[in-house]
Amino acid sequence: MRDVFISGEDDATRAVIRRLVSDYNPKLHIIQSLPARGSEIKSKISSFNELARQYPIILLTDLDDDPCAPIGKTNLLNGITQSSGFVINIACDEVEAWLMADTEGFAYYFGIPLTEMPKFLPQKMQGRKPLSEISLNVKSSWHFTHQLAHLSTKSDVRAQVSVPLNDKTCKGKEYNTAVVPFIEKVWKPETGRLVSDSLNRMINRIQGL
Amino acid sequence: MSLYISRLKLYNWKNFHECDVKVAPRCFIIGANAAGKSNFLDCIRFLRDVARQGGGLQSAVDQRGGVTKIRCLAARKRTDISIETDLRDMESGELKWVYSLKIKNVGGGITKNQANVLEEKVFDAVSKEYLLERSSNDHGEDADTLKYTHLEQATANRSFRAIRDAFADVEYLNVIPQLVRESGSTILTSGKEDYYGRNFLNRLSLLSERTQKSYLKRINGILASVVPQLDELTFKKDSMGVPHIEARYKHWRKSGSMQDETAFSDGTLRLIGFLFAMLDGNGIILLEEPEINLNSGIVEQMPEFIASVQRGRKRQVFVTTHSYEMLSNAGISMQEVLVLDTSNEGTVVKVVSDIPALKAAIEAGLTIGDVVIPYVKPSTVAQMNAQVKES
Repeated sequence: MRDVFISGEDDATRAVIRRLVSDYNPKLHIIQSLPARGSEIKSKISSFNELARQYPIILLTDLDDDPCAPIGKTNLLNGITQSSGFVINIACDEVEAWLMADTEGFAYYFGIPLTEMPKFLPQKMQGRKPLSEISLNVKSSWHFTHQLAHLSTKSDVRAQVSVPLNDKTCKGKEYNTAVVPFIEKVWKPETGRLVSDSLNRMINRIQGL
Repeated sequence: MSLYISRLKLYNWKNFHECDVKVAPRCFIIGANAAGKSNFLDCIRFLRDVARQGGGLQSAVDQRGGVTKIRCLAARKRTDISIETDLRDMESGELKWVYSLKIKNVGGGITKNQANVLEEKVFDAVSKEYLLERSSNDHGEDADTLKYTHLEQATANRSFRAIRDAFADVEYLNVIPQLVRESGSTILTSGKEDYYGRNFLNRLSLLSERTQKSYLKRINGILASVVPQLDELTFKKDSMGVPHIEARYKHWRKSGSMQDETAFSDGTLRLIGFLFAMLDGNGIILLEEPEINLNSGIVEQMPEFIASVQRGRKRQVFVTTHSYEMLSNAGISMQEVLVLDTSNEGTVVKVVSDIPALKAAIEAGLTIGDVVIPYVKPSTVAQMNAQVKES
């Protein structure tokens, strides 16, 4: 077993890392999660990088306002030379997009009509080669909580996840309670990686550790 | 001379099947709920209960429901319970004493259950000789003599009185504001041990006027910076002789209004209790989650406050905590933090510096709070909300 640290901004992100490690490199032993609340990742990035010289760190963060993952990574590292054990992953555009990449599983579990699920299409994101990612004009978590969850046939999902359109809150009141069990038990990353290149790259990195 | 506990070795003590850990003069104890933080402190309270006047082994065991209630659930063939402590000088750090006590349960059926001493040893580390090596098989020991430790007997502990004093002076205070406000409860607990602060005002009333004023002056100084609307904390007794504390609550009227403890906020009472506990006495002090009810800004200051008190009063301080703010103080060293980790064989206690991954993370620049709080978080905690079903 090889000891590793993980770091993710919220429960759903950390659940995704744990699930990918468990499925694709079960020889890794997760010691614990390191703090990554809000701007903490940026303020602690040099400590993470230093620690990664001894113990690999698998970091997962959202693309947020950066135009593409490589720029997001450069901004995150802020001039630091990345240690080989520091595995930085950026979900395009958010971890929720990776969950929706298992389109049928997501739609069935959350009771959302399949026809309403977002498409995954090849897109040029500043790079030369088009990459397949979610095709949405809004953030995928916002789309889930403000639109898809309202269409759910399951009252639990509507109560836990949905947020009124005029509410700027980005997550439902019991968002993690609803989403984490899906990530742990239902989500098929093997299906998702076929349409999300950023997810596929993270899986490859974990397998390479 | 103040002594501090520098090592604790436990066998079959409550959550701890086997534990052998070094302890610093300022010691933070971290663990998940039910990991055994309070039970870890309880072995020190147990030694206090054995050593203090009016205490003794039988009383200390009875207070805890008997030997079988103390014994670790993970105990196997060996059913005895043992506690061993190293005691060092707070000033020089020199090892002075090693005290060990091994007990077992006797009785059952028609005979009364009681604790018997199996072994009791005192090692004088300065002269490097045993002052006491007592075993249940020794000539002269019988069922009656084994009911008592030498630690609790003034004639028997003459040559190691310093150990008795160090244990007897252990303080444990966990102020519960609701109980402090309930003035009638001071009568109910008078003469008994006061773990929850019911008698804390009574204890303040028993101090000499000079000491009382000195403590209140220092507490007032601290309150002025953290609860600026409170001023002039004073002590008084009502017509029934029940002790109270009073303070002026400043508002738009020039003179403000006097309020007593019944009107103080939970946080203010906890803070006053914490400050009083730190200032009163010289013995080892055990603090249970002092951060409760307090603003995180105050909690952040606690480690430095403890250190500054320790500079003046050479007393060991144990603190159990769940607070990220408390542990994010950069002045806390890895050797000062004990991590309680649950397992099928009971709880395992480790110094943070002995856990390589945590040590590496802290050396890389992360704070102890960053690293240790997530480390002790139960991996299944996220499932908590999924278990809630409306009826």
